[in-house]
Amino acid sequence: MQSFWLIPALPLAGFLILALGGGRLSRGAAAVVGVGSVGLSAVLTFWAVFAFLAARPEQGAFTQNVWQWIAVADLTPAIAFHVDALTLTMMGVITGVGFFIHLYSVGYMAGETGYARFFAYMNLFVSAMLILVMADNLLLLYLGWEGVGLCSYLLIGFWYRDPANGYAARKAFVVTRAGDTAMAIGLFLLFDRLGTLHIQELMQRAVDTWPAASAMPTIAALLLLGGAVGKSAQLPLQTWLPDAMAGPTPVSALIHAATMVTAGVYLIARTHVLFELAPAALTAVAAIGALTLLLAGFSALCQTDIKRVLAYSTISQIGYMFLALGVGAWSAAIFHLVTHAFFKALLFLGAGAVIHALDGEQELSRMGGLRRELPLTFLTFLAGAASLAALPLITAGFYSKDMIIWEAYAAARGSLIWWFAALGGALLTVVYTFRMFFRVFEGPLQTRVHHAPGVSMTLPLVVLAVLSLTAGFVEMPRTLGGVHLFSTFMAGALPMVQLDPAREGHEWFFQVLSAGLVLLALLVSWRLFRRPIAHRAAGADSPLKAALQRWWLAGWGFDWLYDRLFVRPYIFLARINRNDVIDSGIDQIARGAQTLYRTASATQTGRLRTYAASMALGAALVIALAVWS
Amino acid sequence: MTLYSLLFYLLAIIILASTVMAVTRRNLVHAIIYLVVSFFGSAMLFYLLGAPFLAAIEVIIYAGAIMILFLFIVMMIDVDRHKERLFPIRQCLPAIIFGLVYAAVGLMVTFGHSGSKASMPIAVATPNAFGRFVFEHHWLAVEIVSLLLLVALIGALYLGRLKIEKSAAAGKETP
Amino acid sequence: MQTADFTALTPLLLLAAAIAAVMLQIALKRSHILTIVLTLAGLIAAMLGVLAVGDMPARQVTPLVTMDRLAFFFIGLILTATAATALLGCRYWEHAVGQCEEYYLLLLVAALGACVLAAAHHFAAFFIGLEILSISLFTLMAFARRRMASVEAGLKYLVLAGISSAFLLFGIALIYADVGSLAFPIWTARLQAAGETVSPLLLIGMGMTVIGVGFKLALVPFHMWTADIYQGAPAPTTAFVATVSKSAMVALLLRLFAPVDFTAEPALFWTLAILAFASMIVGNILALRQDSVKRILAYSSIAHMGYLLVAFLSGGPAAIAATVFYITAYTITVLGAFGVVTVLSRTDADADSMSDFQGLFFSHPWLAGVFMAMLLSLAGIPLTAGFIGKFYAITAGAQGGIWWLIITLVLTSAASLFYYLRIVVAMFSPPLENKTQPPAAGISYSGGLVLTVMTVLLIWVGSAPGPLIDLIGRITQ
Repeated sequence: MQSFWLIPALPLAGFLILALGGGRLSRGAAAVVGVGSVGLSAVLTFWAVFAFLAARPEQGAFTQNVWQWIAVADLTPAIAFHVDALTLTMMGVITGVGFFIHLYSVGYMAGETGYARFFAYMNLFVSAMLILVMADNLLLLYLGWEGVGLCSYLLIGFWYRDPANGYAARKAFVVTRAGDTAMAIGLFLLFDRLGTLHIQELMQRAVDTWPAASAMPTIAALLLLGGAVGKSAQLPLQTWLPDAMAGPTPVSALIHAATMVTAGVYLIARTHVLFELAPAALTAVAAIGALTLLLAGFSALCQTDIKRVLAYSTISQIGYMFLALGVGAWSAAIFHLVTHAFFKALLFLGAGAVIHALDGEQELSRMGGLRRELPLTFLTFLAGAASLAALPLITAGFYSKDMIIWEAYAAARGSLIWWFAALGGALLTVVYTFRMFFRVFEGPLQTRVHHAPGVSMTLPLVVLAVLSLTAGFVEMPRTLGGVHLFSTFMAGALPMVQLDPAREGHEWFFQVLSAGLVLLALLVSWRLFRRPIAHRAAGADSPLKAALQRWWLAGWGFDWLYDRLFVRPYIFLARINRNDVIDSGIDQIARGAQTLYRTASATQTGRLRTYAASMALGAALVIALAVWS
Repeated sequence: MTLYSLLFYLLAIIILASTVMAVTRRNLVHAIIYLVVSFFGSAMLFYLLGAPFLAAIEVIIYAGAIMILFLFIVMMIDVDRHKERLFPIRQCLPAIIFGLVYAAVGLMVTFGHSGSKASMPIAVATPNAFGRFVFEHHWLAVEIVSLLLLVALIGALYLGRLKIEKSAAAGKETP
Repeated sequence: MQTADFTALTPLLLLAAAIAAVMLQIALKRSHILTIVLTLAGLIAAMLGVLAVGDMPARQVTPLVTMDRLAFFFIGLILTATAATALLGCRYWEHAVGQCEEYYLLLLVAALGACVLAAAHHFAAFFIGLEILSISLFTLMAFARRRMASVEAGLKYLVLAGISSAFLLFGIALIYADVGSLAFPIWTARLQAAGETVSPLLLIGMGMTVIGVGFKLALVPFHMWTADIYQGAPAPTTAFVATVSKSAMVALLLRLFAPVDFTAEPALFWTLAILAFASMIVGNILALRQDSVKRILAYSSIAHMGYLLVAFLSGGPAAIAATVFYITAYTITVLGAFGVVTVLSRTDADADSMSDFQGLFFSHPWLAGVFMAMLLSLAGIPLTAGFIGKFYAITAGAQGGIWWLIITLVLTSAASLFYYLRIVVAMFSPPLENKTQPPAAGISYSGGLVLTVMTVLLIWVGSAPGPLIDLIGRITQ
């Protein structure tokens, strides 16, 4: 397996070609380079998966040391890859889903200026994300981590002429920076204490050095969690993701649904040994996940913009993954990550097709009745919505979410509280999903359809729809036949979940209960939202309900809170400091340097005798030093 | 005080005095003559140290060829007597510093406890022995020094051609 | 005089043969292109010679020179830099009024002098090599005879180099008086053994040697000539001064002082440390608000030699490796930087003031990119050779525990970003309205080749320094 490096290198090469020659390439050529490079690395990835399945490498991972950058004492940052089952799964998602989203973009971005620029950024993103998941040391992982952050910034602000987009991009960058800082400090701490950043070795040393539940691993794990929370838009750093929808829809699908935002989940899974040493940190992960999935679910219920519904839904679904990580259900978290990548990318692409068809309309209130106008989009969107809502038996989302809900209760670290939160979240999911679905496709036609999606857009929709429905069959609970392909595949990289033997027996009861509740919630949303908005608006809302709606629409007022807590005090301080108290000191340095410069320049007279005098002085100095020191 | 050291000090005084005179003369021709005296003194010193060949070379090349060349140049370019004082105040500082440094070094060398007090063995380097030594042990140095002379020659030729070229260029432009 | 002597001297002999060949060719028939071809052929032959005999065990040839791996490495570096200068000069002198073939001849002789310095094992070789280098350099500086600044630069260098040589000679005499030998090893052994009771003769001799070295490396306060000469001399010559002359002197510095244990000889340490300190500070301050790009590069070279001394002063084997690495990275970078300046220049006027570079990105995007890479390398930005060089310098310094010098290095490098970025900003600013078109309409193949090679080397050394570090590690063992 000497060609692993090609997988991230191909999109990087694509980026370079597009960035350097972008102006000179035709649109067709740009699309071929942009899509082709990702497609090739997808092919290579799947070839790698087959190679992996055909002959399991020793210790469950391929490793490849591409190139050692520098070696100073303990710090030996290398471009080295560690490819195990977890990495392969992530790579499959990134390149597979990424390829289809790139393909979709060919149609979606067709009318835009900056076509090559778009594909350049997208390719760079794919490359950075691959580096993130393939890195065998935390430094390289951090490089990928910041690389995807940069691409996220660039792509959210892709339509940079609108200042609001620029603002959204900056917000995403600054908010995630808060998490990244914590993560960087975590890396410093780990390197300082354990003397390496090589992940496998780091984990080994952590186990050898630190007793379980001691302070040091907890601090380190919490710092890493800070980074994960920022990247994955979990409480309390979730506020950037809804605004990030300012970017083009394929970007939302690729970066803000399928891949980048799940990097936090990957990070925690990758360093699971460290987290297992710190039960308190794991509990924090679970609590953050549970809280986020509920709060975001409520917010999704009230959004009026189709992409913001999906954004809050993404936050909520990642909350599920965090919950699963927190209870030690590692492979369940990754399983949900995969299925979520399929159906959420599908939903975003479907939403994109709708927005495209309505010429940029994103408001739910101005959509409706599109079932007959866009039948293919309708069908595929239905598949995605069903999978997101986890309709029993026939969707991938059901199998992954059910696994999390069940293990939230049954795992050794699980409890009834987590189970309640997960189940409540599942009900919310059904309601907000079908609220959105009915608003878009049912009721009277509100806006005329401008253009139907072309084949490059519909093909990815169909493929992802099929995956959203069938991908779940690789892992089915015991009660439904017990297929465990995914968790056995993952077993080489992540430990199996430990179930509490006392609770294990009730599985079928819990499953039937949750499935029944999901169907019930579906019925409720049918009753509530099937009717068009106009009818419902007649019945005046109670003030409490209206207030609650506003509150949830604003995402629980976190933006407001942060504005009061951080932004305003900061601006206030900046205003006090208008005359630059701190800068004045620095200005003094600059002024001092200028004075010195003038003094020193005065010696550069251009006269030979000055120069000779300087040499004489220097000679006197040197000889004095030599003799008297 | 042996005859040897008497001669040494006498020569040293002659060399120093004539060099000081050479530096301070306003008339360039006088300065050159004093320099010639100084070179003669050095040549005698070499002879005293047992290097007759070097002494001869010193006289032939320095006191002879180079100084004559200097004289020719001085006569050809016909410098005006410098109106300004020889040492403007501004140049005094570096001169004083140089002087002090050398004085300090001299004092230190004279009175400091030097590492090796032992005088070097007396030897006489006959031209024959000198030649053998240079060409047997330092043949590489001879070759490299020849390059030094070569590059000086090329450089001087190239830079000196300026005038000819200028007139040639002028000649080209006029017709 | 044995065959092995000649084998060891192969690169020098080939270089000398090239000198003879070029001289004969000029005498028989003047042809610019033929001279260039002969020059390059000679240089390449000498490089091949280095490759062929470079791995042989060290051999002392006459008391003067020792051909060991360090010498071969530096000879290789010098030959490469000379070849780059010759290639850069090819377009530069093409339109010169009058004859320009001597330029290459002088370059070759200067390179030979530098090679002798790099292999010197004896004060006599030191002095002869230095003089060959100096005399060819001042002719090379004055080579653009129609430009007053060029002639002035040559003259200034001649006088000042003369003064520094006088000091050096005096120092050598004092050392001989004390040690009774001019061979380096005997001298360093004596310096080492003497310890506290070292005689003033020896110390003063050492001090004066430092003056000679310091003048060539342009360490403060022997730096005054640098800016005038960098600015006045024709651009290819400046590139040559900044690389060949410096690296030969660094090789000599290693031979002279590397075997000395600085803890045993505090006088030497403090002398060099104060020169390094002053160079870092004064060099960077002088560059701050300069408006001439060539002067900025001149002042930055002063500062860089200060950085290099920090690596050198840290002591121990890491110090030598770091110093060699630094000068290699610096040579690559400076050749690239002056390459851009040369490509933009003509015999009658060099690209120099900031306004010559304003808007370069829009007229010559690739040139601007290369220049930016070189400037970032000088500033020590990661992924460039300069970063690795500085990094190793700091690492070596930290191992040696000379923290005050390291802090100075870090602070002054931070300040240096200001003037490097000023050039970058100028390149990316919109072009001036009423400005005459930049002199070079297109880039010659020779100039393009040099720039490409240097850029590739810069990035390669910056991103994968492993092979070079290994090579230097083998050399400095």
